[in-house]
Amino acid sequence: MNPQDQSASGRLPGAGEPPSAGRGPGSRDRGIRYVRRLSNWTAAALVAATAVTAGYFARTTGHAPRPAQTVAGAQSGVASSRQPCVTVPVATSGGSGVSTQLPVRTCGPAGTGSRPVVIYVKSGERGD
Amino acid sequence: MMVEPRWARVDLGAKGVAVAERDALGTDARVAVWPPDALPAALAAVDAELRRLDLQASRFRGDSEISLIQGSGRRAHKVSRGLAEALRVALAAARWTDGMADPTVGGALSALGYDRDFASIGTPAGPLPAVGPVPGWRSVALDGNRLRLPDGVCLDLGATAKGLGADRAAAAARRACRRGGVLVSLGGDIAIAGQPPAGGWPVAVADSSRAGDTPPGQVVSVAAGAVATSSTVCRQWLRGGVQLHHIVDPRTGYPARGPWRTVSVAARSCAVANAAATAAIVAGQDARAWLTSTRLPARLVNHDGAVLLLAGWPAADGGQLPLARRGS
Repeated sequence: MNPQDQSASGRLPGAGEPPSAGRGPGSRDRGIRYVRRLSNWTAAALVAATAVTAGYFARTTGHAPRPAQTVAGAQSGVASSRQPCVTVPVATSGGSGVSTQLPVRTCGPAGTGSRPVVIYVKSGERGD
Repeated sequence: MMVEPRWARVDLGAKGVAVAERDALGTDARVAVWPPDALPAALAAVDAELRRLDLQASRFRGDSEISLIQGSGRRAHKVSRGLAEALRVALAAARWTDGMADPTVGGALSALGYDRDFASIGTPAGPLPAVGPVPGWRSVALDGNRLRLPDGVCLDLGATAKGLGADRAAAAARRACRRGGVLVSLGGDIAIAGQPPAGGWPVAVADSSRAGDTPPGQVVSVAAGAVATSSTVCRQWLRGGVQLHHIVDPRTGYPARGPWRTVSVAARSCAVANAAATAAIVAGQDARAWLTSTRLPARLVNHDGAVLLLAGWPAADGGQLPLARRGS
């Protein structure tokens, strides 16, 4: 479909524009039908193009690296340039509450080789 | 009316994030958000979720829904949607862990002396009672919001409730913030929502959730999902000259006596991570095989301090936790 076709020969007369010479009521009806046909084609083409585009995004999303997973109910966003860079621990995952034991000595490497083995002894009732 | 502790800002010296903490649910709660100006909205949302969970499932509040049920003397109950969800999660965790994380340990815990908020336990009087196996999760029937609880069955949702609370709170906080990312820690059970900071949220993994109580174990980076830790080192008390802790083995009714003192697990939801960590402590010698079967990244520390890493849990400090394959 060539958009220029529509403007060249299928354009409706503008408001107040005199009909062209040699164009009677019959030719005007033909023009209207022609424009309607073109409009239908335009709409169909737009629908088709949108579907193809949506399909492209769907395929691209399927192959793209997955965004960060989040817990249920949360949104995951695309990477943002405003993301901070945090290097210190913001929280500690550990047993809940306060330990009633204190480390009394350290000796030798732990299983990972990077941490001391810590021997615990009870330091007394200190419930919390 | 109970007075809710106020949040205190925590200055970590980290730019672009805001952190606050307060006591909650008998333990510590911590919230980290970015951008920092989203903190008030996040805290309000977390407060609402914690209040809700406390009123639904706390064993130590006389006015909580679960306490009223336990004290009603009736077997059949209609429960709120929130408690139904908490019970459903607890029963699903029990099934998944083959009963190692069992919500019917409440009676055993009470008999051992853990029958009130831990801060009030002190040293219970009397010798160590004979407890025996717990009634078992199969004795509890939940159909929608209709609960049937046999006589003598006392529920304790400790193996899943904090994890579920962290999941709920993180999701609610993220919705309230509408942008950025949120981390919520409830007694060391950590859920994140939204976009993490570049490289993930740095999280320390240790025996205790309270920094300074125990030496740091490791720092990992969490970019998605959740991480939870259970430890026999925390919440110990004496009864009849015997040192007890709060993780009860449903098979014996006594505190678990396996080789692992602390287990941390990563999963897509904190409730799953919470249940898996508790189950691993209970499973003892079988923990390695069971955790391996779940394919969840895990870090186990034995009583000598030796560390076992499973399913891609990073060995190096600062390493990023792999995304757990299950637990969503």
